Amino acid sequence: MSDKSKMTLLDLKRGEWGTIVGVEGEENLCLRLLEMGFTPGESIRYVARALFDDPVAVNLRGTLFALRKGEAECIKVCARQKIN
Amino acid sequence: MYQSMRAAEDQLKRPRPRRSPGDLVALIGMPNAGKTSVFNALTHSNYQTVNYPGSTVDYSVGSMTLGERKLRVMDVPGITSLTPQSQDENVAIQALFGESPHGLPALYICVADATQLDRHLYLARRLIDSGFNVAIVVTMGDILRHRKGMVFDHGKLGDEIGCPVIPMDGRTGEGSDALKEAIGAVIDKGHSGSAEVPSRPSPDEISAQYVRLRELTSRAIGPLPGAKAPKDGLALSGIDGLTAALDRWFLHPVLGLVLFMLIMAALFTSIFWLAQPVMDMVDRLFSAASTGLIEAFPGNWVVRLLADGVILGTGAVAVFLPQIIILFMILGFLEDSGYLARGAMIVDRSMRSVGLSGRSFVPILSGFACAIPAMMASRAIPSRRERLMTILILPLMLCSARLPVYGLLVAFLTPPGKPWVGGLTLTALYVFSATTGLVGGSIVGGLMGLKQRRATLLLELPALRRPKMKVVLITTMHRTKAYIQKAGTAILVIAVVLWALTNLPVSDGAAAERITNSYAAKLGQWMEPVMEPIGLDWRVGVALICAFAAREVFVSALALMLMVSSGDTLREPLLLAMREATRADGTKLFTVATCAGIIIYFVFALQCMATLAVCRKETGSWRIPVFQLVVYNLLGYGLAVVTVHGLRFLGVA
Repeated sequence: MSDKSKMTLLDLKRGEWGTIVGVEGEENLCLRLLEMGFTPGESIRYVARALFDDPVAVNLRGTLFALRKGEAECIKVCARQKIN
Repeated sequence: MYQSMRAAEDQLKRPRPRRSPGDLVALIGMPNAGKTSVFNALTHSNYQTVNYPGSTVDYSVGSMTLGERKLRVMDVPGITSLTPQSQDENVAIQALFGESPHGLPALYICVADATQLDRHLYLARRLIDSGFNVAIVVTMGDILRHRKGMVFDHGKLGDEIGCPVIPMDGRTGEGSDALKEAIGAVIDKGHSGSAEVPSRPSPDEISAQYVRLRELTSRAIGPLPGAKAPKDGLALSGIDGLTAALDRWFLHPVLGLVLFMLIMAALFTSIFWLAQPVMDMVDRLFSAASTGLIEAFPGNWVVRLLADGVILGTGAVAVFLPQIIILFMILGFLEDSGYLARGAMIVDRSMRSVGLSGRSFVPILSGFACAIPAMMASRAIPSRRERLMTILILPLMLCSARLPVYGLLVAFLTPPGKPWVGGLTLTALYVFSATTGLVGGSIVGGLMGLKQRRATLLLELPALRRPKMKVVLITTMHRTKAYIQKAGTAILVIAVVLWALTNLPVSDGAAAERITNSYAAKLGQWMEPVMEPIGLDWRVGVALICAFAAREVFVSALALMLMVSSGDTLREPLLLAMREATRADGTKLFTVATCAGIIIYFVFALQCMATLAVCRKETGSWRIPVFQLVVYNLLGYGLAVVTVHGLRFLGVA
């Protein structure tokens, strides 16, 4: 199921919006990410990074989150489809 | 008014849920939703924080009046999900669903942030769908309006979601009357007969739930009248412009780190320099009260117990209050402004290398003032392992009680005319303590099985805003009160016990004479063989025993043991006495090697009994405090022996 070639959150350019296609990884972590609002179809933006790109800050549903690299890599994205 | 008629009917038709006492309201919400502010506004900050039995999760229960009626309000730590993934989350969720001494809440007030409404309505929606009685409070309407140019329609939202929705500014308390009215209208409505704790949702259920929530919020939230909605469909996704602009600096990989260090340096400087004059004043005040009392009733040992034991013991607690209040205030400012989470993100990577995360950063930082408030601050760490690990490491941080000891010994070691050597030595001690503490603690934690295998961060960075003085002062007051309650009793009891040790059997001589004839002196002489390997004698041993009341007591005890008559200027005569003190064989007692030995012992040893008492409370067992007491003292002693003999081997006496 898990496709390594899929684009993850970290592949977005900084400041660029993407669309979440899915959350893949350890079951409990995925459940938590989903419950926090990282659901498929939602827009997400890679905002900032700490030294060595870890952790990163992302913008989702009106707020910011700091995610470790491993957590960010669970979030699979695609380029954002324009709405209307 | 909203549903008040139906509420009355329901009350007649259906008995209240069996386990619910009917007067309990629980606040529920994600972290940073502003839950505590709402709680403070409802209870007028009149509440008690209690430990959930058998755990370290604390929840607060306060009371509010509703006309004639008195209601209890419960506040538990913020939760993201109703599916617990850790012991602590489990405890918080169980308390919410009636497994606490307070019973099942009759009403859940979900606190939601207007700027991220869909995320924050998720919990409310889950509760409503499961048949629970819910009211929703929406906070941060001001940020939504002023920074994002949008407004939300609470009436519309209430109709859509099927429960009362009240806008409120928790920080000013505006809207709390409307909330009380709404509580009164629905409190007796009761949960539906089939109400059950929601089960673990499937990924598809969560996604579908969020799609519905997004539709709902986009109908309830719109642009300000006259303003145009942005066309990109991202109006609800973006963050406000001010936060985005500030974060360009605060979250910059390099500049952010520099700013972070500057802020921490400022924090540190103020803890020490702002607090110093007040600490001196408190110190003088208690000493004056103590000597005044003794002079008024000379030769009375009950008065001496009161003066030297109780008053000076209280003074030992009070002297750290200025530092602790300043620490709490600055942390309160950083917390309320939203910066603290950003700091946690910046240091996360380095903290991870020792098995911690960015969330342990604030407790560790507070540990440089005092381990006790630091242990209390570690409650904010959601993972139990990480919290225990932090608590394990905390006593190794260079707390301010060690400073007077280092101050004395470093002054002794500093050659005349070269004050910079002293400054450098003290800085080196800070760096040394922090490094050995973190690295050593991480090794020990690994051995104890406390290291995280898979740690998560998942930290929300709240919108940046100007901190409100009132909010900061209220939190500072509550935290200070908790510190006094926790540390105060322990410090006082230990002070009295140590007074007894150093003053009994009763004799009427001068202070120095009393201590040389006391039980403590006998204990000191008995431990002479232990002091021998570090080149010290029983007199220093007694001072070290006294340091178990509070580390800084070492200085005054040493003065007593070396027969320095105490006066306003203790330091110069004490340094002189130290230079002249000799051991039984005539060699010098205090040399570079033995002073370095004492310093090394103080770096590692856990002497503060109050810390142990608080650690016992915070970890819920004796395992960690006993371990800390034994291992850190043995480690300090062992390394002191190595230091003294190593230096002597190198030719440093």
